Amino acid sequence: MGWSNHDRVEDEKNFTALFQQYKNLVYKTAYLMLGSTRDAEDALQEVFLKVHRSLDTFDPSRGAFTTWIYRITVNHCLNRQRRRSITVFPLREMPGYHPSPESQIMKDQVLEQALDSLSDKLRVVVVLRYYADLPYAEIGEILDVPLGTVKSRLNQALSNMRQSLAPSPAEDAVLAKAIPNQEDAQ
Amino acid sequence: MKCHDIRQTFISYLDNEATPLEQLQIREHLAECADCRAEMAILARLQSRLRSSLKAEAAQVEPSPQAWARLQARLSACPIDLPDCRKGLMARLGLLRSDHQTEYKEGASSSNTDQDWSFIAEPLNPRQRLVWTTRWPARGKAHRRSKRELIVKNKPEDDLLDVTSEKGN
Repeated sequence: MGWSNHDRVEDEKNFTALFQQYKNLVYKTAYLMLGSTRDAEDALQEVFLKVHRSLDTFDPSRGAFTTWIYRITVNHCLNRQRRRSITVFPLREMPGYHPSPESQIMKDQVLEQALDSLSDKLRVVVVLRYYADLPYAEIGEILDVPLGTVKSRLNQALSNMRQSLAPSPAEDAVLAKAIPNQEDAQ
Repeated sequence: MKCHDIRQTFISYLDNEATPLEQLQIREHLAECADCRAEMAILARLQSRLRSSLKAEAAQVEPSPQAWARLQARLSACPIDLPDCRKGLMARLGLLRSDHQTEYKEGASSSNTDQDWSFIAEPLNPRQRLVWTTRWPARGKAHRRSKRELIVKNKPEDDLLDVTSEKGN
């Protein structure tokens, strides 16, 4: 049957719309995984090249399109990190990192350090859960791991971060005041 | 259940991903254990900080305006034979809905993190009774009257996890 010019123009138009719809999902997830805007740009290119080439293999009966595109994005990021055999760069140490004044107000540097200390496989579940707000079941589908593994990785990630984040003196004071000693309460 | 064991389920509880049984066990345990209430409060705050921090980081960055042009150039440089089944595929699969969510919904998460956790940090008024009601047969520690007068009732008409407080005598 073949492709007419009209078919090709239509396909390109639709793919442009698809790119516009999902570019932020891919780019921002990759940025949080890889820690640099340059790497996130590369990831955006590679992920959409792959989407373009293999779109006809997407099977909606096996999951949502967002799950599929997340899986391609996450696999790209994990493979990239594996190939480079490096850990994630702390964002604030990246050469091209110039946060806006508004974001400086929001910055939580102690937390970022704790996040940067996580391994890639722990970091990815944290990003998918606490940035993308995905349910555990979908995270399991994206990473191709059982639900129990998602739970244990999140547990481990937050436990590691909890260890490196000692409660602030203010938090300690609030908790000490709010939670009375058992004996005192009697 | 021991503190170490119950704490393994705190994260999924805060994320609304714990099973009903786990939820019940956690609530029973929290009613008795001040250390675990403090731990739960710290974890809830950590999750909240994580969300804020990740969303703030992501909000600072955008794909470059040249991203599509670069991709288009690469696609043109290496054309591939598209199968016939690809024709109209994106529209057929409904991938191009105009109302599709392209950006993450800020603050739309379905977690317990943003809930009011003051109840686990609030000292119980000795005159106040915390009454847990359940359809399940009362057993173990929760069945006994603790120093804080924790009582498990067995009323079939009560909700599974209905936690209420009432004035003591």
